[in-house]
Formats: sequence, C-alpha cells, structure tokens
Amino acid sequence: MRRGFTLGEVLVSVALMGLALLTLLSVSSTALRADRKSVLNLTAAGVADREMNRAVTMALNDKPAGDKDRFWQQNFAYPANPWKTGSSQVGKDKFDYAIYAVDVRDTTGTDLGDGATDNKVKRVDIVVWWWSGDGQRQGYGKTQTSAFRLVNQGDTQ
Amino acid sequence: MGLFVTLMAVGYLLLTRNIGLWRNISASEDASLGIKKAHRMVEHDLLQCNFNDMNTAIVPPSLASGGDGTAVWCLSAAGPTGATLMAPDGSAFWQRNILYYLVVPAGHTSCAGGSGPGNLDDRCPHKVLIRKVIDSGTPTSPASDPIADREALLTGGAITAYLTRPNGFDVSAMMGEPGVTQVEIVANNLLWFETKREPDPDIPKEIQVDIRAVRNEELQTLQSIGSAPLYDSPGVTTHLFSVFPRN
Repeated sequence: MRRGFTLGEVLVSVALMGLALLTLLSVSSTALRADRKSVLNLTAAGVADREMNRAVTMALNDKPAGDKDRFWQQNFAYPANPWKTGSSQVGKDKFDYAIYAVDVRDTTGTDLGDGATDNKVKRVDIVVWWWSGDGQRQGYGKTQTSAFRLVNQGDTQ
Repeated sequence: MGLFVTLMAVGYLLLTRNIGLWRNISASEDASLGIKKAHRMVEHDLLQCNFNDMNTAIVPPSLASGGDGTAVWCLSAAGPTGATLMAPDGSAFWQRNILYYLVVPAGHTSCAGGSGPGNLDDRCPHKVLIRKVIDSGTPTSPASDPIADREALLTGGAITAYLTRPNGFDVSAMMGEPGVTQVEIVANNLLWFETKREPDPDIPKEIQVDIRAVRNEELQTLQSIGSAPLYDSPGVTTHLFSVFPRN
C-alpha cells in the first residue's frame, strides 16, 4: 500500500512555500523602491545641473540687476545662507533646490587669484531634494542629490 | 483541501505580481540607460559647439501626424580622433556638422502616432535617436587648410535630406548620404527628444533638452500603445537638462 503525505507534512510544505513567496515579494518591493529612487536620482541630477548653470549664467549676465556683484562679492555658505532657492517641476515630480557660492581659498586662507578683485574663483554647490525637506524618507534612504562647479571670474569678463 | 487551493491561488497571484514587478524594473532600467547615454553624448557634442552656429528643426512626421521629434545640429571642431582642432590663428577649426535627431524606424508598424505638445508625436515610444557626423562640401582633414576648408553650418533646407529613417536598427544605408562620415544609433525606445534654443530670454545661450522614454513594461504592452498620448503619463521617465556651449 502506498503511503501518502501526512497533514503535518503538507502544512509544513505549504508554510515553507508561503514563506518563500513572501520573501520574494519583499525582495521585489525593495527592488521597486530602489528603481524608483534611481529614476528620481537621474531626474534630480538633471535638475541640479540645469538649475546651477542657469543661475550662474543669469548672475554673470547681471540678471536681475546687481546679482553679478552680489555673486562675486559675497559668500553664501552651506547650509544656513543659500544664494538662491527654488523648485523645479519635471513631469509629475517636484524638486526643491538651494544653491550656495563661496570663494575658493588656498591653504593660507587667501582667495585664489592672489586676492585680486577681478580674478576670483567661486565654488558653486547645489543641493536638490524631493518629497521632504530633510532629504530622506523611511525605506528610501537619501532623497537628495548634489553637484558643484567652479567659476573663474577671469573667464567671465 | 480548501486551504490548499486558497494557498495555491495566493501563491499564483504573488508570483504573477512578482513577474510584473521585475519586468517593470527591467524596462525602467532600460529607459534610464538610454536617457543617460543620450544625455552624455548630446551634452558632450553641444558643449564644444558655438551657440551661433547651431540650429534646430522639427523632424517630419513618419506616422499619422506630429513631427517625430527635434533635430539639432551644430558645427564641431572635433577631429576624427575626438580632439579639438585649431586654426593657425587660434580659433576653432569648424570642420564637421554634427546632427542629432529622433525618428521612427522604417517598417515600424505598431504605432499609429498622433500630435502632442509643440506638434510633436507623443504616442510612439519606439523611436531612435541618431547621431550623424557630416563633412559637407569639400572633404576636410587635419592636413587640409583650416581656413579654406572651414565648414559652414548646414541650412534648414539642406538638413532635411539627412533626416532619414533607419531600416529597423540598421543604419548602414545612411553612410551613403553625401558627406556622412559617421552614423550611429545613440539610444532606442525613446518617446521624446526636444531641444529649444534660449527658451528663457533672461538666460542667454541656453539649449534646453527634454528626453522622455516609457519605463513601464505594462504600459509598453498595452494595446493602445502607439495611439494613446504618453507625454505626461506616469509610466514615462522625463529627463530635462541644459547645455551652455563654451565657444
């Protein structure tokens, strides 16, 4: 006579199968979140690059009036004193940003360009975040990105 | 028995859902990779151009209505090895026209198409972004006279002849077009490629580029794909960036 499975064996196998499926679902869910974050990171990198270059170009063209002098003569240090803030809508997603600009100095604390008033180098930083103001969200980790560029006053006269 | 059947049904649903999720993730990665590659190459070429020697046009419709996308072309000083070449007076040696345009491949029958914003097609997500290097007029080489052989920017009328459709992914026939020295498909499965010159009058010399691709596998397999507007669809990855040419 052939022996079948006992109720206990069936229950254990069903439980194991359920566990495996739930684990798979959990992994998929994590992968989906990571993918969403990757897409937003890509978009945010475009926003960072675009808004930083637009802000610098506007300042170098003195728009609005007085912004060129303000850019070269003042320091806007992270995080308390942003030079510009704003937001950018890309598709359905909204990205906020803050831009900072500080003089680049050598190890002795002197501005690069030997302290000349018309040959400064500025480091411009931009921080872009989405969803929340503190740049992170449970389950997604960091929800912000950043970029920087150097601007040489001598090249922009 | 009832418990077993229920568990099997739940298992089947979970597995089906998982397969859908993984397919969506894979499609999303493909979309992001295509966009990243297009961004890198377009930015690299446009940065080396002169803003005043650059133009844009709408690619003629391949489908029912609405241009396939934007064409953008400019003069380039990059030589055959990619290095920038200079004339004896120190100015850039403009020697090639570089052209980017989005087009629906020939023989593609699954899209009906339709006009979206700016009279561009926003329904077919299977377009390809093509890059062509064109040496029009007298052939130019690093050994030739950089002043006499300096290239001129192709006119809007002249560029139309180069906005041709590949046969599927095969671009070999395009090498037979006058002056074409290089041709490649930069990215495929794109929905949208639009470039604007100085969209904001307060920001001079800005070239704004908008690239979109469908990232959702479920969306890609819908029967209405190719005939439903996708411009602002939630399953589309949108990538906006700006280039400020250095010359």
